Amino acid sequence: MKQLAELVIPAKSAVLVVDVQNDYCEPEGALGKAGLPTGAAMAMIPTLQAFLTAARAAGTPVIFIQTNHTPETDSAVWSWRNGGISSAVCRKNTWGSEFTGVAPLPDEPVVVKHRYSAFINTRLDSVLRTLKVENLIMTGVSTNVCVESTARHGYMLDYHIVFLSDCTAAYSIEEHEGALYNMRTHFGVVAASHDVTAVWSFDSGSLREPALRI
Amino acid sequence: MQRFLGAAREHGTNVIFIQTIHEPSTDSDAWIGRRSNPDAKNCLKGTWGAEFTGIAPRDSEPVVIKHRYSAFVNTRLDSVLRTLNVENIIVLGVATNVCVESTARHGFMLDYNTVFVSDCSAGYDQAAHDMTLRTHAMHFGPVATAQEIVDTWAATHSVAAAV
Repeated sequence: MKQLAELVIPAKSAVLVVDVQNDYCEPEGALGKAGLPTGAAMAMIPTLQAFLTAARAAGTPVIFIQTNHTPETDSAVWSWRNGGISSAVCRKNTWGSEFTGVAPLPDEPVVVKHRYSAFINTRLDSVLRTLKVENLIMTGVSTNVCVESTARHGYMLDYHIVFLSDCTAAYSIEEHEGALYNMRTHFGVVAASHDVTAVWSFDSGSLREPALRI
Repeated sequence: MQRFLGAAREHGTNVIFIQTIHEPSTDSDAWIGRRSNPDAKNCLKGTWGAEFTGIAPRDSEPVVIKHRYSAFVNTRLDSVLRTLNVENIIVLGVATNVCVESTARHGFMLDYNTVFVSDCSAGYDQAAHDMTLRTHAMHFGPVATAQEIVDTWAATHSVAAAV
């Protein structure tokens, strides 16, 4: 059983920022316009911004996951199930697919995906292996769909999962809490962003004790 | 579940059994090291705990062995389904929110239409069971009762596989 401090060592960890894009977060994005409450996503973004600043200062790689839907990956199964919603969400090269509130630095990888899990037919596993990443620190939207699907998949590919309760958001509190329950019970560690940044600031010379020992 | 499998066989729907087998060769650090992972200490190879209970594959029915929650992770399941020309999977079993949900999510993302059988799945926590069904219905595919599916079979004959 590993301590949280071991699971966020910058040299062995990466922060995944999943789908923080206009269509999923902004009230004027596709899901907001469809009536889904995006308030939790918008409220989470400042916390995520502060966390990414701390991750970069600690030298932890930050990897952005971006959903791009295109005709060539709009399979019959994908398009049929959601009544064509995906044909209006995060279309390639539209405003809706752009990041909101956060953005990759020039040297930070962006992995483009077209399903919920960022591991499905993408280069993510190669990017992580190249960086010698062993631990994934999960952030983004929505907690119970793309972030949870990616975290489930990553754990089953042998990455340790640290799931941040306050840097993820869903369209209802029940869905958010349900995902956190699954994560802490079967997939990894659920932590608040300050638990992780406390480890990093302690390791970089602060006298402050880490806030959480798991 | 026993009655549902009987109906599936009667209507010619493929039935595929997924069996978790844990052994040292797949007990990775991430798998074993996750807190005091109770999931890592069950279904050990060659033990009574790994055997099926209440249901069993017929001689012609495939058994796919897995070692993670999703039955698609590093197994032959996708090959078995492609060989059968399966386009639709009907998922049931235990636990609703762990192995069944992980497999259903994964299958949908590999382009299988995925039907989740609400009353042939069970978990260890009612709220988690209910949330799985809600998430599935909203983002992954239809949720149906066994009776609804059997009634559909009675009305039509479609190509599907019960996993």
